[in-house]
Amino acid sequence: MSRVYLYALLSGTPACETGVGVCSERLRVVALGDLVAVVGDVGELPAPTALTLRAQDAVLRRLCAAVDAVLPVRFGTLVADDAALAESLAPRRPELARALGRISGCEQMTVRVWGEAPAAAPPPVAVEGGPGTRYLAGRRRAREWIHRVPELEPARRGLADLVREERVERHDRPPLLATVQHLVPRGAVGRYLDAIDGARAGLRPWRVSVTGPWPAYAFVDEAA
Amino acid sequence: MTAPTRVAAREILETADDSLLDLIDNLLNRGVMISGEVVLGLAGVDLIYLRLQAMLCAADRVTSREAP
Amino acid sequence: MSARRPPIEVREIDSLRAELERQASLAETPRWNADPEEVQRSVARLVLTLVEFVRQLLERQAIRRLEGGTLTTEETEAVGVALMRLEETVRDLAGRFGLEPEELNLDLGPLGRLL
Repeated sequence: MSRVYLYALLSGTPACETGVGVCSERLRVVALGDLVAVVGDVGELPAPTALTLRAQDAVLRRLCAAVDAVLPVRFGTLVADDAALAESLAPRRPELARALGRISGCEQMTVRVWGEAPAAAPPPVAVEGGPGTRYLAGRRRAREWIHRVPELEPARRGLADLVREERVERHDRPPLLATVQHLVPRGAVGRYLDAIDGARAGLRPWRVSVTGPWPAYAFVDEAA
Repeated sequence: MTAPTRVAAREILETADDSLLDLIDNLLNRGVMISGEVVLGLAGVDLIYLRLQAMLCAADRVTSREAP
Repeated sequence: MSARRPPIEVREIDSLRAELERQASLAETPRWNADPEEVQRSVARLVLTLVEFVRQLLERQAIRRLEGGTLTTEETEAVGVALMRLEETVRDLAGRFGLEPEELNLDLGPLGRLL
């Protein structure tokens, strides 16, 4: 019995052949109102291996070469049939259309921030009140801090014109401190890498490594 | 059906070189997530967590709409 | 296709791998045919993950109200104490099952990782 394996969401049908998918199956599109889903008919869930992951990434890159806006779907997403797909996506169409608008014409650069310890947080502002009040104030600051990467501050000026959006995940697991995803216009990769290289000395003691460009995997949701 | 893929997700990490790690991160941790009963499987995630996720997302939508 | 700059150290690769392994292990269901302690531990993790999610939801709401100025001084204190106790309880229970707080962080897709 075949099921539907989902690769990506697009704003329109790609003009050219989309090739084959992870299980060497022919790809096809499913129209969902103003969205289009790129799917394949497979027998069972493919296991994540170097081969299958690379194959899926290759599908996404072919789609990115064919159309401006491609929303990658998480690897291994399997539904029963086209109707199930339509049903699960229907309530999210406005939000998905917005996401496609956001990432159109852009790709993702991934920066990992490395160091022996995170940048020191600014000293806490004194808060009046009992233990509960101070706790809540502390939690508020902690939440703000989760999406900050002060370690990258010296690089920000050089990157400002190139970065449309940013997503941050702090790990604070030395030497892996944080992962930063940057949405940059297509074709800006060279300038982006030059800007990072130019900033490396100023970033010390922290180091960065960069990979990309990638399809916009990290930008499917709105900023936190 | 999902158990072998979950094991495979861990296995692939053991042998991954650094170029593969970013690929794994992007494809297994990011991208649009479909949740709910329609999902038959998601690599590396057992169905019970998919159902939990669907329920929790719904709870979050409801509570986010409440006036502060 | 993939742009790479100065090679990264083995230690760095290891920490990235460890972080991804942690994320990969988050969604494991109790294996009912495993040893009873393991089953208990993974059931505990499922339950505590749910409690932790609710705690974070409440915390986020409380902070929103705090920032919106709709909490009185007494309410702020009361909510803060309640959340503080809830966090201690979750941490304490997690510890008893040998679970680290990071293990309770479920990948919620559109919600991201709340923590």
